[in-house]
Amino acid sequence: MGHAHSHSHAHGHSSEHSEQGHVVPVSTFRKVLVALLVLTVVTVLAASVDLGKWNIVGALVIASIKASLVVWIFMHGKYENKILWTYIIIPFILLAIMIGGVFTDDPFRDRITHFKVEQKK
Amino acid sequence: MSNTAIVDHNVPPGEPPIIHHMDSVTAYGAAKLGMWLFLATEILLFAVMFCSFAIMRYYHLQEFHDASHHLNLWAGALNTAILLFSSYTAAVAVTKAQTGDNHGVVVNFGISVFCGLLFLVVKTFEYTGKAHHGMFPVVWNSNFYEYKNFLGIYYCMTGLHALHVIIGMIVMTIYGIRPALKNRFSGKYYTPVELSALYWHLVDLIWIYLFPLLYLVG
Repeated sequence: MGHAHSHSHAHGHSSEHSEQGHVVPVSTFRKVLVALLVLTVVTVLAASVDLGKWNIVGALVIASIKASLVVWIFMHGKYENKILWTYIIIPFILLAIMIGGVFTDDPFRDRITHFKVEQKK
Repeated sequence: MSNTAIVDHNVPPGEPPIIHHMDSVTAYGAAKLGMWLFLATEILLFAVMFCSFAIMRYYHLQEFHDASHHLNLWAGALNTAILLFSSYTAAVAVTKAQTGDNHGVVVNFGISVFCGLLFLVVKTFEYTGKAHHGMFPVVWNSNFYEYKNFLGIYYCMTGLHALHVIIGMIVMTIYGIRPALKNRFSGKYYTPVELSALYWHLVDLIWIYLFPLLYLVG
């Protein structure tokens, strides 16, 4: 184990490329940071306009764009394989099922109770 | 004893630890998959809270709308910028580790940890400001009784998020900065840097949703 050149820790030719993962240049990260900050300003500005119930839709859409940028570039999602992407996607599917399930159940409970009471009468 | 150890960390700087049952490339992939599985459970932990936020907001729309105006928008926006920047430096730290620049890992993770600290300072000012006005998560003080649902979910979500910020700072210090000071990382071995950065990005990811939901649209 251990070739002599592995001891050269800074800018050694052995570390020019990675055998394991993808090396993303710092300039790419910088562009993503600028995009994220701009989108944050857009979020704040959009909230100052009263769009009724579309405010929360807009805020969630912008937040999701920001989150996608973080996962895709910062977290190296762009370079990951299908198995890992399954791990990324599944919690969001479960979240959708949970919120969907709660909203198709809870808000209608009153009505169902009413219905039963009326039937008994 | 080293021949019976499952993981042997006694290797030259820059070399991956010798793992008894798999080669280093397999170990890297397995570690990353494990980390993402853990992140999935973290997302689900917060998913439960986002779900309760949604149902609470559905039932108490006016309360959420009024109460969110009591939060300091600029403190929230400042914290968003701080976390986004710290996420950027964490991402840069991974590139630095991959190119064998251990000093770069120390500097960039150092900035991330400092930003985490700054985030907590701003959060503390917000909490003490709220508490000063009697806006507690529990309702022994009746000043803001009408906001009890919003404040309950606000303190729960931001408190759990702040706990994650603290854990993230500890993780980056122990698994990123400390080994990097000993020139531990190279293009062949940077797994702990990448996994710590992934955790920090998750903290950022959750705040990206918390900020507009709590501070802006209520």
